[in-house]
Amino acid sequence: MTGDDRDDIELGPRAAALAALARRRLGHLTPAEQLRGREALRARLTRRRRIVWSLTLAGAGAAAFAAVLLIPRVLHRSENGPPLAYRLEGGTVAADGRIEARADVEPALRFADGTVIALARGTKGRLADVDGRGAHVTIADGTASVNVVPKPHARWRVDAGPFVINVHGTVFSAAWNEATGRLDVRLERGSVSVEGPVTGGPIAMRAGQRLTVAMHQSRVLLRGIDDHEGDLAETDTTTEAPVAEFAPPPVLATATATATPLLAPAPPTAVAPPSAPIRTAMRQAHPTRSWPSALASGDFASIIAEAERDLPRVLEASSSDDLAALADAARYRRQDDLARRALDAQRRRFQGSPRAADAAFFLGRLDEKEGAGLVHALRWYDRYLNEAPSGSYVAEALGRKMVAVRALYGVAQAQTVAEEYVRRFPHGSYAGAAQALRDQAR
Amino acid sequence: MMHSSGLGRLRLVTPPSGESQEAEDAKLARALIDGEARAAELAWDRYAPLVHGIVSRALGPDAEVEDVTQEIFYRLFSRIRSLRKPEALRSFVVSFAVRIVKWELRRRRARRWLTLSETGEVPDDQLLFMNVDNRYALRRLYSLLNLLTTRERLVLVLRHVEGMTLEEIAEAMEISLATVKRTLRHASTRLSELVDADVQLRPAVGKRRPSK
Repeated sequence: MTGDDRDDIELGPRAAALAALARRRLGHLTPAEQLRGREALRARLTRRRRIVWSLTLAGAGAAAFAAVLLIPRVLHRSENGPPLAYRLEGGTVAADGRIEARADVEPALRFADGTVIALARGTKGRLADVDGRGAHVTIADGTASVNVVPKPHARWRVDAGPFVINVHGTVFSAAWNEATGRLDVRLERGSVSVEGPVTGGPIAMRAGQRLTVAMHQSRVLLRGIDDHEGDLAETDTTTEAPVAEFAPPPVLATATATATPLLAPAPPTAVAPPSAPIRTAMRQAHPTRSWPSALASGDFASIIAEAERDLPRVLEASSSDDLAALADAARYRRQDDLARRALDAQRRRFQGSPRAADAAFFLGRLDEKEGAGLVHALRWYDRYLNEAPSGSYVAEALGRKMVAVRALYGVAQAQTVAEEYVRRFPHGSYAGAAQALRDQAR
Repeated sequence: MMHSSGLGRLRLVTPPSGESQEAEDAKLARALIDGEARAAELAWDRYAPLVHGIVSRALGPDAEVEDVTQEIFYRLFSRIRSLRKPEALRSFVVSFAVRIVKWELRRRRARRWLTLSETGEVPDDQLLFMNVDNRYALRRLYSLLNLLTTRERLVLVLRHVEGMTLEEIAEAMEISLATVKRTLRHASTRLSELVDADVQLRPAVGKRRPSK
């Protein structure tokens, strides 16, 4: 026994019994869960590698060089070290972070690492947070000019109204007009990504670009910084652009090594919220923009939002992969009705495929969740076991079948399933229960 | 090397094969840092059960355990370069997992305050095959743990459920040993009192130990 153990306070007997129960019964990763997790992780990492690679191509070599030079220094600094020192010129920072400028002065936040965030006169801003890696500034109305000194692991963020600008070492200005719902970002150096209403995901910008978002008109315009052609009027109510004008969301374009639009001179690009036919055209033109990718990155909400824009069409026209991703996203968000519709569509349209078989298993789980659906669940598990005798979920399906049979028809009936389970999966997660069932029946 | 005592408290403490385990960890850590293709999956295979255990036992029966486990590894790989001693990969993983779980618990606490939604009583697959008493007992346990502070809950779970030593807990949570002891003492006393006072738990954990 170590010294610390002598100081240890044991739990009371009842609490200790509960702790022991939790230790025994929780936290055991099943082989299926481990396999599923590995696949999901692989997909996420692949996507991240592609994005990093694309950003590297698009990003400034100088920034990378500077990062390499700074790494040794950074390695000796705690990532969660003390917050960056800063001072506000031309004003004061209130207790709640509000930046209160002196009359007729343009206040500027100057950070110890050389980063400067200057606010135009009359801008309503707030210093929301400062840590060892950067700061978070919000602009409620007005313009901020930002000059971030690039550093590895730096984390700077500027919120302009409802838009989030993630900064990766850069010089840019962001103007947000609360009254007109208009955002204007001009990027001189480096790279940023902008995300918010209407953008349909993060929009990656490269040096020399200007992004304007007219939120009320649901319009997005990305073009050269000095290019005034196609400027969005404050009252612009232009109808949707033709399909040819659509660009894929840049973050998705970066998801493939073959995507080059970010590197090419950017023509004026108008982006409006796509209608269903346009979205279909866009997705056909950019097959890398997939829901499986979004699923792998955990972006369940956007999958559901996209699907719900025209659900009947999605259910009738989407690929098997997309339907599976939609069903997963809906299950993870506990939108069981939507999950069920996607799974039904999968089974109807892709009959005989492995995904259709998997759908049977998941439909069983959904039925099982609904108290009165055990009979239906049992049928689904049987179908799955018939259709995919060596599928990924066979052990779980058999285990659940055993549970369902026991609940519906009693121990004696469940014994047969338990025998099969123990024979096929002697170390499976239901093996203990199956053994107990067999013993009980004897 | 940490030491431990007490029933059921050896699992996290002593690597299965001593130094060779550390050597393997060091090799794996270097492969991760170098971005070798299969390293991430190897790390998942080696540590997913451990991390999943910590997440599951700290959060309780919950449908999001897999997601949180996944998130831990995803973030871990992006921060692997901050690992100073490759042979200490295991400690790094545990510490990282505990940190994410702590954030998750705090997030949930905030959400409970704001929306009264996450009650910790969400039924989960892990409960499906327990008998009614045990299922109920576990749900009650985690609803009582919700009454502790995030730090108290984590220290208590890591010690009494996960079986870590006090030194390991201090290292994983980045707090002093004295703080661990003080927190554990308070948390253990409080939970014991809560359990003893909980009349609804009596049928489940009465004089007999919970059965499977």
